[in-house]
Formats: sequence, structure tokens, C-alpha cells
Amino acid sequence: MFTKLRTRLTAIFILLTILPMIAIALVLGQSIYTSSIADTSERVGLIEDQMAFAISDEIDKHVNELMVLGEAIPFDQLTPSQQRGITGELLTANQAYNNIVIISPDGKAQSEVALFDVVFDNQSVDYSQDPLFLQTIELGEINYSGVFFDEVTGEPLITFALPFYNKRSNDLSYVIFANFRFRVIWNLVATIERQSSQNVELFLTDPENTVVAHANPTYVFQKATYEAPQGNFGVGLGGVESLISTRPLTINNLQFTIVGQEPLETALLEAQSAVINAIAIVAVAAVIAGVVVLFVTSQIVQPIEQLAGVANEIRDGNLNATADVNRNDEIGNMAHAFNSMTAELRHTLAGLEENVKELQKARRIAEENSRLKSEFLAMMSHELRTPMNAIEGFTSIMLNGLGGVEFNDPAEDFIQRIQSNSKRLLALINDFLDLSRIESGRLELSSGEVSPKDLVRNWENEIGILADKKGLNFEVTVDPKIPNTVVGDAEALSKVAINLLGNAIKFTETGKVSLSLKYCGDKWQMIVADTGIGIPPHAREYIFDEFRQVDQSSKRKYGGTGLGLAISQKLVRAMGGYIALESETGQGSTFTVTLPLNGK
Amino acid sequence: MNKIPRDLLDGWDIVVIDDEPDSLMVAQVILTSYGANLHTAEHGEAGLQTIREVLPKFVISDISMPVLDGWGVISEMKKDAQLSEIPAIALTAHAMVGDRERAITAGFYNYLTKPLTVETFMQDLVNLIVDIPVLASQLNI
Repeated sequence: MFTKLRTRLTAIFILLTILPMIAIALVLGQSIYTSSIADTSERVGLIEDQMAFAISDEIDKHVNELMVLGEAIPFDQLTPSQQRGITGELLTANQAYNNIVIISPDGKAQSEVALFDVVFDNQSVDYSQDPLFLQTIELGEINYSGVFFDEVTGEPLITFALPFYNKRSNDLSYVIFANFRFRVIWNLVATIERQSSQNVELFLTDPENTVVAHANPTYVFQKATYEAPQGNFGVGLGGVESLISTRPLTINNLQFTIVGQEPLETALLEAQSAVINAIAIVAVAAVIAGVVVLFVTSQIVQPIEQLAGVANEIRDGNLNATADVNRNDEIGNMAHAFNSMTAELRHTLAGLEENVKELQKARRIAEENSRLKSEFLAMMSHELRTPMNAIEGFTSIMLNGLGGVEFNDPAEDFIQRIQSNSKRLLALINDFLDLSRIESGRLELSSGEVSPKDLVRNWENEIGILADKKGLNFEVTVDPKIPNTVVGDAEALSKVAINLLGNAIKFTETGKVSLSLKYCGDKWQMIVADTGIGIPPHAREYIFDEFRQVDQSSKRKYGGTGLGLAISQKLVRAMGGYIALESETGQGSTFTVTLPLNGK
Repeated sequence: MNKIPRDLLDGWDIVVIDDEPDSLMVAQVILTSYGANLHTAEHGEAGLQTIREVLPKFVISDISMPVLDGWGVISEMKKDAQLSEIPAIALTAHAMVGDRERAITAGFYNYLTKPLTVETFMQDLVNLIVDIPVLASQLNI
């Protein structure tokens, strides 16, 4: 898969560009997401702060209002009906209180006004055992009750308990119990909620987690409870997954928790869009990077592919193909080098073709020369032999006294010399022609069945005469295991044997010459041994070469063409055999011809 | 040599074909010395004509000749029922290995190698003739 340069480069570029981008996108998205959530929480926190101040202000305002009233009016010197006139006016004026009670120091209610209830003076209530009352006179300052729900209206209320003292005697004059309506706070919450740009739902819970203020009073009337979760997220009031933010609110001994909740759906909108933006930017960047990668890869690979294409074209024989790359970089250099290489190749090839033509011409000439040489040799052999044959024929006729020829002694001697010289000349010509025929590859050996014993008999006849003339013993032994027939060429075998035996006779003055045939496995051997002058070691290397005898003086002394051994060796090799030579100077020589029984 | 009687071939008609006049003359002198009636021809064509006229005891034919060579002569002789039984001996220049087989395959009874000398020619010829039953019985030995 990654064998192609293009694929590899693309993969590497993608690894180097797009992967880091994705990593950046992930990190960026994550940080944008968290900071966006933090922002939202902070904004909600600010609103909560605002609400906390507003609630504190509101409560302070009403407490002050009661304080100022209590300081200004000597309620202990007024009749209950006068008291009711004043407190009732306050009650109806701002509707912030459910009811207001004036209590004498002994804990007896002197007067009470209620917003939704009719209160009679004689129905005085005793607060002497009321914990709030006792706590208040003990503290000697303003005190608050916890939130409680009115039995009639179901509204949450808080009792403000304010003690007033005689300025001269410092004795307790009376205590005002005012039940503050939390409805006032709801309205405040609703207003702040409305004013805020956030889609935030604000409410207030007391230490028992009861919802005491909410823009939607239903929650309050139902006495819903809500406990804010740890952390920023959780199920909000109303069961919606929300971003939750809380803030404690403490007013004297009053403790509340302000809860701001924003549904995740809207709270995360910004974070999500930020992340989507980040992803979109990275995606666009990745696409651009991808395009750049493909372009750059193409820039690198395309010229290489073009070069490869040109190389293939050249391989297919179009040497005029050139790489068309107009660049100044490494690839351009490569293309230039390639083109100049091709040019060089063209040049070299043209030279080579020229050389081949010349060589072919030279070969034609050489072949023609070889043919002419062969023809010349054939012609020469014929032309040389024809007169020799005539000389031989007529000298033999004269020497045999045929045809009525008679001559005196010196003439006979001369004619005998003519005959022996013409024999030598003919032998030389024949050897020479044999050799040239073998060397020109026109030697055709037959592979008929020949009888070694018959051959030996013929050789014995021929050589025996020569041995007798020189007074040498000629011994012939034939291994009885030699088959009656072997496969070979009788004439070639005879030529080799006669040559070796003739040499043996020629180079032996005393002693014997022997011929033995031996059988050895799938081969047979012709061994020619003599007790002659032998062949010195240095001469054994070249004795089989053409025109070579041991030395020039030997040539003069013994005569011969110097071709016999060369011809013999070539014939033996042509028959699939070989000649081995053992010799000791002055002791004699042994030539062993080894031949296959079944021809080559 | 002396063992071969001079009347060995007495009265035998022999045809020798050779394009070399000297060679022809050598054969003629030797063979007539042994009593043969020699008929000569200088090429195969003339030789065949002579053979047909004379119907000799045997034929000696050179191989390379103009007009019709030795191979042509033997081929024609083998085609002619009258001549096919007449023994023919090839006369070759210095024989190279393989020539003998080629000659025998072509239909020659055997072959003799030039040069023709009294010593070798007559001995070889006698050796050949004694192997030819139709002639051997007629030899004056």
C-alpha cells in the first residue's frame, strides 16, 4: 500500500499537518468549552449577587420602616385602636406584611392588624412563652424568625421582631412582631430575572432546602424543596438538566441559598457554537492542507513519474524521448542529467551500431576468407596431388620395369631418390591437408562397428616391415577381454596407430617397439611403447603442437612433417578419447590412447 | 610383387575412368602389364558409354571429374539392370576418414587410394578382387 512514493508522501504530510490540527482543535475546543461554561457561571453569579443585594436592601428597607415607625410613635401610650390605625395604615400602604402585632413587655398582644383577617382586640394572644419573643427581649435588638407558611394563605412569611425601649429608663416599652410576606421577594426575583439577559431561573431556598422565593409562585405554594448538587451540573428545579450556580445569602441570623439554574440546552449553546466554530476552522484548514499536500506531492511525484515514463519509453526503444521538466531544483537537475544521459546513450548507441555494422562486415569478410581458404586448400590439395600422383605412378612403373622400360644402375638410383622424395612430399601434403580439414571442422567421423583385432593385423603387416628393416623387435599383445567389435572410425584409428607406431620405429635405434590393446571398463586402450630416445620433459608440453618435434636438430635428423602427433591427438579427441604420454629421456616413450568402447 | 603373375588379368576387359590423362596412363600401363584389355574414359559420361559397350569385368572410377563425376557414374550404373552387377571400385585422391563409408554407401564395391603405384595398386586390387566371388573364381592365380 505504501510502496508508491505518492502515497507515502501524502501519508507523511497528512501526519505532519492534519493530525496536529486535529489535536489543536481538540485542545482548543475543550478550553473554549470550559471557559465558556465558566463565563456563563460567572454571569449567573453576578445576577445572583445582584439579587442578594436587592433582597438585603428590601429586607433592610422594611426593617428600617418598622424601626422608624416604632421610634417615632410611642405605641405604649396609645390605645389598641389607635395602634391599629397606625399599623393598619402601614399594612395596606405597601402590602409587605401579612400582619403586625404590638406586644407589651409582659408578652400580651395589645393590638394586631392583619391583611386578610379580622382581628379583635379582646382576642389578645399571649407571646410571653413564644421563643422568638423571649429571644428578642433577651438579645434586646431586632431578631428574625425562620420562614414559615401561613395557615390561611399558604404564603411563606418571616417574622421581624423589633424591641423598643424607654429612652430615659431604658426599660422595654413594647415589641413589634411584623410578619413579612416573602411575596415581595418573589416579585424582586421575577424582576431581576426579567431584567437579566440570561435565560436563567432564579430562586431562593431556606436552610431546610424549601423553595421560598421563585418567579413562579407555584413552586413556593407546593413547598417544593431543592438541594443544589455539587459542581456545576445537575438536574435543576423542574427536572431539566441544567448548569447550576449557588450563592449563600445571610442577613443577621437569616440564612438562604440563592440558586441560579440555566438549562444546558441554552447554557451550552455558546460553548457548543464555539466548539463547532473551532472544528469548522480546523476542518477548513485540514481541507486546505489536504489540497496543499496533494498539490505538493504531485509537484514532487509527477516529474518523477514523468521521468519513469520517459525511462520506460527509452527502454521500449524510443531513444528520442526526453524528460520535459522546467525546474531549477533537484528534480530539474535529475531531469537534465537524465536527458543528457539519454543523449549520451543515443550517441553511444549510434557508435555501437556503427561498430556492429563494421563487425558484421568484418565477419562477413572473415567468413568469406575462411570459405575462400577452404576452397583454396581443396583446390591446392587436388592440384598438388595430381602431379605427385603422376610422379609416384611413373616412378613405380619404371622401377618395376613395366611398360618395357630399361635403364642402367645410376638411373635406377636416381629414380629411387626421386621416388623417396616424392613420397615425402606427398606425405607432407597429405598431413597438411588432414590438419586443415580437421581444423576447418570438415572432419566427418563414421561410427561403424570395427574389429580391433583386424585392425591390429593390418597395422602389424604395415609396421612389421619397417621394424624388420631397422632390426627392431615388434611385439603385439591383445587383451583377450577386448570385444570383437568396438564402435569407431577404422580409418581414423588406423591413422593414429600407424602414426604413433611409425614415430616409435623412427625414434628407436635398438630394442623393441610394442603395441598392446587393453580393455578397461567401458573404454579400451591402444598402448604404443618403444625403447627409443624418449622425449625430454620440457618438450612434452608442445610435442602435440603442429610442426613441433623435440628440437630443430631432431627434425633434421629424423625428418617428418611434425604434424603427425597433432593430427593424431585431434582425431582421438574427435573420437571422444585422449592421448597420454609417459617418457624418460634415453629410455623410451609410451603413448596411451584411451577410447570409449561405444564411440563418443 | 613377383608373386602376382603377369597374366593375372589376362583377357579381362576393364574400364578406368579418370579426367587426369597421366593418372589414366599409369593405371593403363600397370593393368595392361598384367594382361588386361584396358578401356579408358576421361569423364563419367564417356565412361558410362564405354561400360555399356564393353560390359567389363569391373570398373575403376575417379570421383571428382567434369561432366559426370564418380557419384554420378555409380548412381547410373545402379539404375541400369545390365550394369548394376558389374563391380565398381572408387579411385580417390588422398582419402580422408569417412570417404570409404561414403563410397560403399553410394554403391561402390570398395575404393582405392591414389597415388597409383605398382606396389600398392596391384596388391590392393588383388585383395579386393579375391573378395568378389564372381571375379575371384576367374583369377589366374
